[in-house]
Amino acid sequence: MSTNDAKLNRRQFLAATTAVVTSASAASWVWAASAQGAPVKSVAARVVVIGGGYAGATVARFLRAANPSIDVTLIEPRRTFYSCAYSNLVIGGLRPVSAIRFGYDGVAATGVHMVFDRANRVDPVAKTVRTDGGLEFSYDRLVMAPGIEIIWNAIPGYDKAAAELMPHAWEAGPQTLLLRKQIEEMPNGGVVAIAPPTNPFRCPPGPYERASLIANYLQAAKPRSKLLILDSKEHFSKQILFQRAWTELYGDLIEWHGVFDFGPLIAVKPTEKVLVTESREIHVDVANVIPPQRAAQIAQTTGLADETGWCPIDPVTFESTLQAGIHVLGDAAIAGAMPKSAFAANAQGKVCAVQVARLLNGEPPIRTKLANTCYSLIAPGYGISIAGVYEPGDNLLESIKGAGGISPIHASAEFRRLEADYGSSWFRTITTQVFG
Amino acid sequence: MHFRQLLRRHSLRFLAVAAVTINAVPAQSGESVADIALLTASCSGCHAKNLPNDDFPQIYGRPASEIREAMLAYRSDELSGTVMNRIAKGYSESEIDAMAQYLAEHAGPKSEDLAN
Repeated sequence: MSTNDAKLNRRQFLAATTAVVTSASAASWVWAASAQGAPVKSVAARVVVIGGGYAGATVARFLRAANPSIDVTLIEPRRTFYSCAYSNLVIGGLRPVSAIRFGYDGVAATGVHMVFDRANRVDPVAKTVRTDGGLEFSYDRLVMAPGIEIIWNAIPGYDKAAAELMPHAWEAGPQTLLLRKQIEEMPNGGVVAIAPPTNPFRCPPGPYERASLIANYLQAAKPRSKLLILDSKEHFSKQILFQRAWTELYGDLIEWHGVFDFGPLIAVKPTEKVLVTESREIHVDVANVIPPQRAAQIAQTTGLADETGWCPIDPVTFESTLQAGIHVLGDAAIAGAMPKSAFAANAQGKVCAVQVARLLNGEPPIRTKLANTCYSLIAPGYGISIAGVYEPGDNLLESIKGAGGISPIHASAEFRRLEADYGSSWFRTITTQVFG
Repeated sequence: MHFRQLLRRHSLRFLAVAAVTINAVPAQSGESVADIALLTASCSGCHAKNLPNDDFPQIYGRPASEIREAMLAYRSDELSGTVMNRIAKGYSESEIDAMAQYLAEHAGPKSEDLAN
């Protein structure tokens, strides 16, 4: 790129943005990424986005920024979004539930048509989406960001009714509050159990951050209590950092049992508050069962999921490898080394917005790199992180070797404090960017 | 050292670097502005342009030499940040050059650059 080109592009960019100052919504880089080479054409294309979480809301508003002539409809059943990211702070009593509650006024203000309804049928050939409310939408390209669904009865006995007694709290909202309430009502000396699933699942470090923040509450409010983690895995995300911090901060309050101790969770008895592992039955006071998950139902019925239950995608465009014209983002997608995190969903949303805008404009997609950072809070003022940088490989997003990884094992208290602050700042930034 | 501390403590050094490179166009990797714009997409997950945040330094509109110096120093661990050392290692020198140039050129008031 020569200096002249750069100046020309800068002028194009300015000309393009001047026209849309009133539909403020997203970043300038989107402009450059979609306007380079050819000025933005008036394509009057229609994009439907299913799911208004981090991935869906991001892609919707960044599509508007990429090309305001694109007609974007976001279909989401709920008018209120409860963030899973940061919900462990609500469970631990560090934040009110209002801290994780967001609406869609900010998304609508960018010119995205919000439809509060449930998409129940996609016809990939006719390119239409139908909703429970009887509406039908035609699309040129569809973006699926429906998140996860819990596989009921994957653990025998763990069904929707069981979740009212043994909350999963892996979809935030009422479940978050139910788990918080049970922990608050538990007597001093009680036992809280968390049972995380095998990989892959939403937010790999999430169960362990949750254990930390529940322990933080118990230590202060109910110090004779115990927190058991009955894991179905042998290892978990940021394990060494979590385990060292647990010992340092909470002594023996948290007891982690890998699958090699008691075997996997094979059944639950919700009314008795009993968790059944391969080798024993464990009676607890509060049971947080985090069951196996897969891409949400609409992704399954649209034929986007493979035998794993998740959706294979092209790592450059996020287009489904099973259904042309449909892109899959966020937790539902098989994004290779990229984890199912809010940060990843947001980054994917921005990249996918540009790729979709380019494809609709007849331009080739761009191979790029994506990054992820996941912060976990272990106690107030004590944070850790895991990061990664990814690039498209043969058919998956692959980690770039030598980059990424976890916070140092030996780090100062100041380092941990900074990462706690950064986690909090990240949450504020990302939620304002996506929902504000 | 923290990025903000770095900028404070090394402002003279940055000025010196800026003086040397002010007329130089950083080496490009042969990619278009569109490519570079997309490469910076993940940065705004924390360093969002129009959402000021004391914890995350503003990277849009910062002199390219400063961004480049900081990223290369994180990359080589000459500078100790928290997560930035791990992230910087995922990018080549030419990508860092191009991103720094792009970010430097894309400052602006909210009304021009849209919220983010």
